[in-house]
Amino acid sequence: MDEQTLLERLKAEDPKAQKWLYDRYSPMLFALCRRYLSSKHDAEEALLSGFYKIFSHIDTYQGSGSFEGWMRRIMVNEALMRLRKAQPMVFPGEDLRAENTADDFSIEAELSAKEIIALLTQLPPGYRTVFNLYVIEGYKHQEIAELLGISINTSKSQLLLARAKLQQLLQAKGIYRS
Amino acid sequence: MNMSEFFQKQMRDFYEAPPERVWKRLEAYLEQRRKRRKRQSIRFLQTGVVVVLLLLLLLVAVLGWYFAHSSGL
Repeated sequence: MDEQTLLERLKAEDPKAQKWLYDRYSPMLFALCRRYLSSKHDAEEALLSGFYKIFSHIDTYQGSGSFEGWMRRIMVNEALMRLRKAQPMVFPGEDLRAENTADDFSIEAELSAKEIIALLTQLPPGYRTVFNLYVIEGYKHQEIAELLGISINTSKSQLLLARAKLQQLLQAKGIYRS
Repeated sequence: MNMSEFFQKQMRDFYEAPPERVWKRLEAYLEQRRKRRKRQSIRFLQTGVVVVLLLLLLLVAVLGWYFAHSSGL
C-alpha cells in the first residue's frame, strides 16, 4: 500500500488500514516506548495512547517530513508524558559543568536488545531520557531543553552523566575498553 | 566504535512486538470513537432536518398570512 492511499484510508477511519499501520509500526514504536519507560506496563499504555492519537489526529499530518518521523515524535511525547505522570522528573547533577561530552572510549562487543534495554533502565529517568533523545532520536540539546523544560546546560550534563553511568555498567559487564 | 555509535547500532534494528491485548484495547477505543462520530453526524443531520422543516413551516405561515391579507385588499 503506498503512503498516499494509506493516508486517505486512515483519514476515512478505515479499520483495515488502521490494523495494517499498527501491525507494521507497533514493534518499532513499542521498542521506542520501552527505551523511555522502565515498566513494560507503562510502555504498553504509552503505545496505546500514542496510536490512538496517531489515528485521531491523522488530519494534522501535513506531509512535511516523513510519516514515520511524525509518528515517532507523537510516541516520544506520549512516553515523556507518562514518565512525568509517574513522578516529577528529576535531573540529578544539574549544575555539573558539561563541557566535554565526547565519547572518548571504545566498545567492541555485541549485546542483545534485551541487555541494552536492561542497561538503559538502570539509568535514572533524567539521564535515560536525555540519552535516548540525543543519542538514539537525534534531537539537539536546544530541542531537548524545550521539550523537557530544562536548560541546555542541564541537558548536556545529563548526557555526560548518562554516558559515565553507562560506562560503569559496561565496565561491570567487562565489555568496555578505554 | 564509541558509545553513541554502539547504542545507535544496537537500537537501529530493535523491534519488540507488543502483546496482543494492546491492539484489542485500541481496536475497542477506535470502534467507540467511530460509533460516537456516527451518532454525532446522525444528530447533526436530524437537527438539520428539523431546522429546515421549521423554516418551511415559517415560510408557509408567512406566505399564508401574506396572501390572506393581500386578497382581502
